[in-house]
Amino acid sequence: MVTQGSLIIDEMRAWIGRDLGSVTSEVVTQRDIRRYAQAIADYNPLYLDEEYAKKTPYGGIIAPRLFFGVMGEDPNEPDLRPDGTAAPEGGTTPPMPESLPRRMAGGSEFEFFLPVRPGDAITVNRRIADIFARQGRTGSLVFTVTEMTYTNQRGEVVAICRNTLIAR
Amino acid sequence: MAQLCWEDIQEGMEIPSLAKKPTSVQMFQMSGVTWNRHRIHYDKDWAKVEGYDDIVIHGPLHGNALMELLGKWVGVEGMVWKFAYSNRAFAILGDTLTAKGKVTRKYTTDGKHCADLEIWVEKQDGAVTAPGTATVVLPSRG
Repeated sequence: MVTQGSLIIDEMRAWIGRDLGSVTSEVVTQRDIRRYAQAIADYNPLYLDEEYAKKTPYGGIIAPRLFFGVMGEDPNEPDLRPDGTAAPEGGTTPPMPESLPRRMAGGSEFEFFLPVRPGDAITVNRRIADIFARQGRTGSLVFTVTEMTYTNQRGEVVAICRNTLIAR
Repeated sequence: MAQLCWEDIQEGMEIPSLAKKPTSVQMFQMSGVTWNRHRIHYDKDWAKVEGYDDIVIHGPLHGNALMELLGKWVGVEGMVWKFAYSNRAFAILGDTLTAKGKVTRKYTTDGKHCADLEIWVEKQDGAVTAPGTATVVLPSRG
């Protein structure tokens, strides 16, 4: 981990490896998968047609691989900001230096192991995988990498996703 | 379309591109299914207040365009194993997103026949909205 002088302080470093807990979804239905496929306008019959999907190596309908996007926070409307976004839940993001007030999404990395099928209940466990600093073109940047491990009701790992948030 | 096999690919080859032009109905569906209440994706007046000319295409729609590109290329017997992308530039209603890819490496690992790709989404003006990489596993004729 590259540190920029005192930018990564002990209070932040203590968050590396921190387990932020797990949340389990309701059971995924064929309708959830169909609506996600419609939302992304990908009408692959693997997602929509059980008779077709049965004849493929998957043996039945599966969800598009980025289906995990439906597992978000859903606060009540009074708890949303005026622009409709949700503030991160307290205790789920490490403190950042006050000199870096802006936030940017830094990208997502996925590793896929198993598909999601109707009838699955998906558990997501979040942990802070890393916090590091870099010198960018316009100044210092601090990167926070959150790792999400998705498992199904049989305890099998379905996918791992790492999201990076940049403070600048 | 015939199933792609590992023997059919070469390093440096470009894969067939995929054009997506999200409609306002589609964007409504994306907000709904992800329960994303961010107004810039459905409220044109609010989008204009934030400086956009129209409602903004969701970041994951750029990612899903890349996954659909790869899914069509690898076919039902291939698999996208690893996938990474970031949203670098925004697109709005009316923009066309074209997902493209190029094979950068062809190899085997652990008994799997793989290819690494550089992938990206471009708008109609050529600006890259979402660069990324992927590793796919393909069937082999042996």
